[in-house]
This record gives sequence, structure tokens and C-alpha cells, in this order.
Amino acid sequence: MDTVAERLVSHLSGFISPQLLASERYVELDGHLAKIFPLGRIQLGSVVLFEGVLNSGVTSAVFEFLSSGGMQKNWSALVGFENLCFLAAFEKGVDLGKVVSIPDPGRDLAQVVAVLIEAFPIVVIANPEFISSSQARNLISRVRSNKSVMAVARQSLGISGVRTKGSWPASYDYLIRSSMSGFSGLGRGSGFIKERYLSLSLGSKRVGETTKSITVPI
Amino acid sequence: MSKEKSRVKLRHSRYSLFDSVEHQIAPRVLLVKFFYWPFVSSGLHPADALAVVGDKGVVIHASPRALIAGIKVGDKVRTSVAVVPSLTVIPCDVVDQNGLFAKVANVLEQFSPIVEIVDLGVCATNVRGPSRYFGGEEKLTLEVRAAMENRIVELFPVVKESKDRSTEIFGEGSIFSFGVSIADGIFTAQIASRSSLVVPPGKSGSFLAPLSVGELPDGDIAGTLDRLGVRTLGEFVNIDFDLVLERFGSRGALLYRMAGGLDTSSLETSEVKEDLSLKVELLEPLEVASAVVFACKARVEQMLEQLLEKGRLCQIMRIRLMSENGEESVRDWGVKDGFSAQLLLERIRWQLESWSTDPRLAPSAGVEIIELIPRRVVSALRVQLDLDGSERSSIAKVSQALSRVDAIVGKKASIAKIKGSRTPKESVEMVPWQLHLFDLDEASDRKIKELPPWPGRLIGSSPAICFDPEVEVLLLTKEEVSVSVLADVTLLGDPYWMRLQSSGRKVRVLEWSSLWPMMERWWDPGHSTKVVRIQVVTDGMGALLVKNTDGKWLIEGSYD
Repeated sequence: MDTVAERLVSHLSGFISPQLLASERYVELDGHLAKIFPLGRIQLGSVVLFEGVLNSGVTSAVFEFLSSGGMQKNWSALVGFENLCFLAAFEKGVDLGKVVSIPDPGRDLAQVVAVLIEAFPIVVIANPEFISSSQARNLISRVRSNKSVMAVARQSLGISGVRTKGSWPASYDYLIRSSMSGFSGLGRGSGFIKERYLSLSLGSKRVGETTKSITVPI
Repeated sequence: MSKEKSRVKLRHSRYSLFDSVEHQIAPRVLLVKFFYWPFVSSGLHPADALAVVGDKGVVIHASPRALIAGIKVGDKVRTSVAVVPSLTVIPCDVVDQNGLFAKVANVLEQFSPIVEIVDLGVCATNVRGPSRYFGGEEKLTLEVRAAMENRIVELFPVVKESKDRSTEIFGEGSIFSFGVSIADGIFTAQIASRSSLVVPPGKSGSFLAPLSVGELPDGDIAGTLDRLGVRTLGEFVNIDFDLVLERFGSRGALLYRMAGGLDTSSLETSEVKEDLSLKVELLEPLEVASAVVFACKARVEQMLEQLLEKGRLCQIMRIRLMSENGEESVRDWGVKDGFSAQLLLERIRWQLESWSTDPRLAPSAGVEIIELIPRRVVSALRVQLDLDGSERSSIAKVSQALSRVDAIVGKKASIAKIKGSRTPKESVEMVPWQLHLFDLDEASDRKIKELPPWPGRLIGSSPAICFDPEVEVLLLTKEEVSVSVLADVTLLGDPYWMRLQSSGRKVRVLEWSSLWPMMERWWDPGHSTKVVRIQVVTDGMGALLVKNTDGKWLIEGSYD
């Protein structure tokens, strides 16, 4: 009897992988992003791409992301964000005490990100100019094994109207496209910008090509 | 009134800390506090005690004479010695090594059976019954004072020689000076003991109200409260309890209760009444220390786990080792934050190693019996409220990664700190991450939700990007005539085009805001400049913050 049971167990254990709790696999989001992410949560070990043209709310979307639900409790590293105004992040509710900024990583970007992924649950990279596709794949596998979240923010145009260098040369799990869809409170020479309306749409490889789109005031 | 309010709040709170508290009435506590106990126990002569107790290079206690010499608690030991070369420095781990204070605290047992040693030099007892017996609380304090003085005289021969005990030995400024107080709860009693007061029942709240929040036994939270504008304990108690719980968690809730004079935590007996000791008899005597440690590891872990289940931590443990031939080694070990299994096993090994290598005392056979007797057990809640292992380990990981990144990049990674200012760029200060990580007060600072109001500050949300250097542009009317500012308040001409100076790119201006005039560096007449800011919405470049200074238009930030 014993030997049969033992053999069965050893046979089965080949099929069974260790179980993870839901809380270990997902981070719950809240606020605007919860409305576009499937089930309002983001899977750990995934890569999120933020894309938009010049001044289309990419940075605001990143702030939204950092302040959303469970993300806020975690340490995050922002790499390559050069002219970021943290006051705006503060106003969005980002806990600045847990956000570390490395504004100018230079050519060692991939190496820096690799180190950061080991320790930081969230790493956000801006315009990844110096990452080759093999480095990017390497980073993705690190993200997967560390159960962290890597985000890449990219504006396709610079302020001078020149196309920005750097794109994400590998796969991703979520793609958030943002665009500004209007402003309120402002006239021709009167008032001030009270609200900006940001359109966010999510494309995700995980949920197929279905995209979900919302317009939110920020 | 505030006290009534808080009491109701506490009872209805869903927070589990209060669920077990049946009666929200603080126990009536008599507390004796020796202000300079560390120096008493070190056997220094009261008249010439010019000494400090140092821990990790910092003064944690200073004797009255040292205080007069200008040394403060919190100073560096090294600088103190430089200032006062004749200073005696007592390492903190030899303070009260022989358990002298327990002998003094025993005096209180004449009055009430439950005596708690709150801290070194501080002991407390329950007095609801005794005060009636001795004819009132005031009388009781006098009785206690007299009994304490007698015990001190018994214990310290130095004191006996002195002629005028009441002033020379127990008077203010002597290392033997002590206070006796009665109040609701230990927290209030500790404060009242400074001037030997009896705070009437139910009046603890109003007694504490005018005191500074700095009295709270948590510097971090007290500092945050102070910065939030909550200066006194009374103001703290007036805050809605739910808000305090939300902001400061269980530790804040406990402090809130203390501040309201509702420190309901009951007294802990210092003397361990129930048998918590552990006796491990080894199957065969062992000589090698690591083997002994390994043999009793499981039992030690179990013992400490059981203690923790009862909400207790052991601060002083007596370790008794007995060899097969009946020789024994007994020593008391102390750990301020309570023993963990690892710390305790370490102590067992140390004791065994030092015992077996001592040429005179070394046992003639292997160790057979290991006995662990908790000598001082305290409530786990009181010792370590903020123990958050996970948080600490993640901070360790983060700092390790950041030092590596710093080495790769050659520059310091930084953390943003918000301060009040009028412009978005000046409101943020980037501090090196090390400064932030090792200064936790700053961290709580950053959680302040509202910015202080600064006159002339931009209203609405701040731009997400601030250009450095600023981007020079031309604002043009439809006819390509440049727009200028008239008398700080109006634009001369309606903006229609915006042209970048560097690339010549031209975009349409759709809407623009009213003007924010501001004087920069107005205090310095040589450098003061007039700045006018407007928000501009463009077709193709989004919303921008543009400023005009010295007739030039510059893009300061963008609302990305």
C-alpha cells in the first residue's frame, strides 16, 4: 500500500507547482487605472508601457500609476526622468518618501535597471535610449523572476519637435496610451487650468487585443 | 469634554487593541522614580558623581553634576569627555548589573502585592486599596517616601555616614533624589513623579492637556504632530480618534490613549509569579558549546514562543548551567528589546565558552542541565510596538541596490522632499537617498497632505515637467507681432502663435490664462526681477507654463 501511495505522490508532484496566493501574484489598483486594468489589478512580474506624443499626459499617467492602490505602498525607482517636477507627483498622492530618482543613468541604463529590479518592486524607465533588445529581454526575465513591475514611459516627440530617441525594443504585457482630450477653467486670457482631461487606453497582450479606454479628469 | 469624547470613541472603535479592554478606566498607580538611578547603581559617591552613561557613543543619562557641567543627554560621549576631562563614563550594559533596583522596588510590596518595574529606576504599584488603608493618597506617598529612604540607607553604606539625609542625600540635585506620584495610569504618573504630585482621579486628562506632545514616548510621532501644528497633548486628544488611527496606526492609538490620561495598561509584575522557567536535561553530558546549544535549540524556541503568545517578552534571563559532576555556572543576561531565540542561544554559548575556558572554574565534566529562568518579563506591547521586520529588510535591500547604482552612475540617486515655495521648481528639494533613509523624521514629514499656503503660489495643479534650462520661445499675435506684458497685468496683443527659438517650430496658441505677476528675490534690490506667468494651451504641444522675464518668454514647465 505504502509504496503505491508513495509512487503516486512522487508521480503527481511532477505536475504540481507550488501554489501562490492571489496577493502574491497581483497588486490591487484603485483610482482611474483600476477602471482600465483587467479586474482592477496588475500582475506582478509584468512590463507596462506608457506611450503618448508630446505633452500628452504620459507623466501624469505614470504618477497615477505610482499612487494607485497597492503600488503606493512599495518602493519605486524612476530612471532617466530628467525634468520631473515632484510637486506634481506629490499633488497626485504619490508617497515621495518611497520614490527614488536616478535622473541621468547615461549609457549604463540597462545595468542600473538590472540592479534596481532586484530591490525595488517598481522600476519606471523614461525613454530607454541605451537598451538593446537582448538587454531588454534579460531585464524582462529579471522582472518576472523578482515579481516586480517594470514600467517604460515614452514620449515620441521632444519639446523641440524632434523625435525622441529610445523605444522599448522587446515585448510588454500592458500598453497604456495617453492623450490630452481637453482643459477646463481656461479662456482666452482668463481663468487658469482647473482640470485636464486625460484619455487613457489599455492594450494588453494578456487579455488579447481588446482595448479599454476612459477619459478622466486629473 | 475631550476626555468624554475620546472615551466614547475608544469603546466604539473597531480596533482590536481596545476590544479586550473591558473597563476604560485607567488604574490608579503609585509610581516611584529615581531620576539618576544608573549612577546610584554604579556605586558612585553621591557628592562627587560627575558621570554619564554612554550607549554607542551617545550620552543616555547624565548625573546632576554632569548636567551642571553643561553635558546634555544626547551629546556625544567623546565631546563630553573633551569638555569635562574628569568625567566618568559608565557603559550602559553594566548599569544595574546586580539587580539592585529589584531590591529597592521590593519596598513597594509592603503596600501592594503587585509591583512593576517599569524601567530601571522606575517602579509602580496599584494603590486603590492601600491608599484607603493609609488614610489617603497624600499620606500614602509620604509613607512610601519614608520606606524608600530607609531602604536606600540600608543598601548604601555611603548614605549612612551623611548627617543631614533629607537635603544632602535625597534633596534635589543628588543622585539619590526620587519622586513619588499617584495618578491614573503609568504614563501620567511618570510625568507627575517629576514634581512628586498626586493627580486626583479622573483629572489626568486635564493634567496632561497643557503639556507638550514631546512628552509622548515616541519621538517620531511627537515630531510629526509638532510639525502638523499639534503642540500640546490636549490638542492631540481633541483630534478625532479615527483620524489618529488612520494616520499613525496602532502605536498612535496607544499614544492617543496615553495623552488623554487613559493609559489603561495594567501593571506587570516584575517578579515572575508563574513558573516560566525552562529546564533542559540532556540525555548525555555534552562538552562542546555548539553541541549544547544545538541540543536545547528547539526547547528554547518553544519557550520564547509561549512567552510571546502570552504577550510577554523576557528582558533579563538567568542562565544556569550544571555539569555532570554538580558544578554550576549562573549568570543573568539582559537584552533591552527582549530575547529572541537566536539571542538567547548566543548567550548560552557565550556563557558556556567562558565557563569552560576559565582555568579556575572550568567544569570537570560535560554539561548536563541547562536551566533558563526569566528574571524580568515585560509586556511585549510596551517594548516593541513598531517592530516591522519586513519593512526593515526591504529598506536594507533598497539601500544596498542604491549604493551599487551610485557606484555605476557616479552620481547620487535622490529622493524628493517638498518644501513651501512659490514656484514649482523651488518647492522641491532633491536630497541624497542616504539622508532620507537614515532620517525617518523626514519621511513622516513628507506625508503631510497639504502644502502651506504661499502667497503668489500658482493655483491649480503643478506642471509635471519643469524644464532646466528653460526653453526660450516667442509669443506672437496672428500678425506675427510679438506679445508683451503691459504693467504686469495685461498682455499687449492676443497670443496666436508660439515659436521655439531653438528649432523654429511654430504651434498655435488656443487658450491662455490670466496673468500671475510675481517679484522674484524682492529682498535683494540688485537681483530682484519681475516675473509674469501664464498658462498656455497649444495645438500640438499641450498645456505649458510660460513666464515672461526681462521681456523674454520662457517655457518653465509643461502639464504633461
